[in-house]
Amino acid sequence: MASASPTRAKDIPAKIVVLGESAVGKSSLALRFVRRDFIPNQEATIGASFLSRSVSLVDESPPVTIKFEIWDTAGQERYRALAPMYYRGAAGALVVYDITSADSLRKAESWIGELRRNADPQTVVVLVGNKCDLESMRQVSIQQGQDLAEKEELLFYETSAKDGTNVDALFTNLGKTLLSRGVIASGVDRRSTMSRNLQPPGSRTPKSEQQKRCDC
Amino acid sequence: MLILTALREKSRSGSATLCSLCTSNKNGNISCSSIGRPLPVLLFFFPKEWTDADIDSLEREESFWLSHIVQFMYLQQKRQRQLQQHRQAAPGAAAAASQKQRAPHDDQGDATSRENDGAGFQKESPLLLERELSFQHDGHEADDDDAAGNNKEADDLLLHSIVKKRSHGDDDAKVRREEGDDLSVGGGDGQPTAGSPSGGGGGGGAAVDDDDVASLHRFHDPIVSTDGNADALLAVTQRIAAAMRRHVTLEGGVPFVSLRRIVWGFFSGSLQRSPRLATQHHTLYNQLLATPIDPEISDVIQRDLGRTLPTHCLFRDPASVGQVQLRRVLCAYAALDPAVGYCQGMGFIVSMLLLHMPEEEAFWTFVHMMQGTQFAMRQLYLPGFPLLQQFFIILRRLLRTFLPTLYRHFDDEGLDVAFFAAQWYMTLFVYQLPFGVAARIWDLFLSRGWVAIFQAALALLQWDSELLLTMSMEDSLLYLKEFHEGKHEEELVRRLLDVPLHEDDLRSAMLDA
Repeated sequence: MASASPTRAKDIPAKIVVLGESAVGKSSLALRFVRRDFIPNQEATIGASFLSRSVSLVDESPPVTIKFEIWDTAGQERYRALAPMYYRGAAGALVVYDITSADSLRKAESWIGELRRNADPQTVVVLVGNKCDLESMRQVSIQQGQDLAEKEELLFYETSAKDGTNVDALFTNLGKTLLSRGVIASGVDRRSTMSRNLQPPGSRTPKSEQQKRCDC
Repeated sequence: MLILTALREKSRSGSATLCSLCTSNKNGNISCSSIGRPLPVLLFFFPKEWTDADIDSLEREESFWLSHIVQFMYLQQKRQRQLQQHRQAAPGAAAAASQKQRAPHDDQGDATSRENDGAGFQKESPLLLERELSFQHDGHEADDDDAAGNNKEADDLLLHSIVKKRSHGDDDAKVRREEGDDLSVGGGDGQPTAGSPSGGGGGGGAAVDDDDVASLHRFHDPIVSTDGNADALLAVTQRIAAAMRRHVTLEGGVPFVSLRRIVWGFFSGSLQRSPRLATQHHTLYNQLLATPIDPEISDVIQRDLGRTLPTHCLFRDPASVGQVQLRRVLCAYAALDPAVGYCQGMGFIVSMLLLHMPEEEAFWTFVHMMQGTQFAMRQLYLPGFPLLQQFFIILRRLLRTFLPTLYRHFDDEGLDVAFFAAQWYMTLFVYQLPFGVAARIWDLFLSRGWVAIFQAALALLQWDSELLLTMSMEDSLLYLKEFHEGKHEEELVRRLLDVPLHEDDLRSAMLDA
């Protein structure tokens, strides 16, 4: 498993959730970052998929290593019912759209709204326009993406999971932002973040009342 | 009984395998083609005075042979129907033939009945089969109905041909032997075309044989109904099903890939249907294909076609037969059951079926898996995933009972089953396990129900429990995400069957959850 890197004591865990319409390239983006690989016909994600990669930020002082723990979610609208258990307590959220689909940008907007309403206010949200290698099929201009990001005060990147454009830059910058905003910090007890982060609906209570409530 | 005797002799001499039986059919050594449809064949072989013990005492090979015959009969029936249609179709129109033309009833100008049925099925209830149930349970009243009139007529025709063939069974078999069992000959031989009137002479014979032919009852679930004499047939089917189920469990699966088509069809219940129902289904499938569905749903389906089994040669290419059929089946299901529509995960189930059976059979098997009470998979995919949530609760409890150390470790790590088991249920392991291994689990799932999936889940976790106990949450998740070489399917199935979980345990757990 190329993605599994041993956790060192000084690694700072950062839970990241990847959201967005189906087939915009969420899994490809995560795989590009974690495995430096691209599979043209990536299998549709069912439920969610977990990946992780540690990145050293050498220009921080002192240098730190962030361990990105990435939850790559299923894109279909229906799976929104399961999304809260992944974005709750996340340090960062990537809201991905496909620059060749105006519709996917609208879905991204609704995801941003949902995060605003239900996620931890500290969660750093990044708007990501993926598939920027498909310039000839572009339906969403860079300006549109930027405008939305500015309006919502989000980080913004256009990426290509296929050729790798901006993928590492996105995560590095996200890591720096998480550190500078104090969302994550070295010395944090790992267990406390994990158990806070992951509270699946119904796991502690036999009758899952929580689950019946739809967060969207 | 002639054929059964022949089969038995072959079985004793050990000279025949399932494959060779198939071949011997082609060579005309044994012809089963003089009898009509799947269940009557079984009825023909299992005399009514047989007890459970008799059927139980059947040798395993025999039981599977019989299944294979069922498959053979089914194929033949299909080919005969195709031939009929071919004969009716105008020359040159074949290529351009619309879906409507493929349905025999349409060719009879049965527009009224079609529209009535179709509209009712599509608009009133996603559980169309329930409607069929009520429709057919009325028995004779329904038969007198205008809407049912043509179906009845078609049944009579088929019945007539079957009766005729049965009465000349031996001669027929000889003819077939000589002619190399060419099915096209079989189709032309006295097979009435759908347009011909049902002979009055045939009617009398048909009444006698009604018991055998009329009703192919679903054995565990009242989804597919019957017309007449249901109970006796139901009892026999159940006995056969029970015997087959035991064999499948004993074998830890279906020993021949080619048999999955029949065994899965049989266990799902999609195979047990009367000729009339089969015709209705065929018509309905074509109507469903022509029914427009929610464009958003069709977009999601379209996007997922290339992302379902993308490495399999039958599904790799957008024009591949796998993708084309997958789209049709998923769209037809979305039209049938708008409340479910399409949910990511369903494609993997349909693909697995398409790897084992033709499109339309895959569709109806899927419908039974979705809507039959034994599997109720539509509850898994409905908005809010009601059954999935229930399964998570049950799996947590089972984990606590069967693997308490691992359960505590997961709990300490904050690792919940929901993070790794969703795919197990939503795709019945197709997403994660190699096809061969997944198919073995499917054999057990279809014959025994959800208990097999829970057993598989527990067996997989148990297999790696020592390793998982040393892992952090993240490492466990990464590890559980993939199938690891070294888990041989035989061993996995053995471990699965060793998990001491009974169907009743699961049933009561379901009620609790």
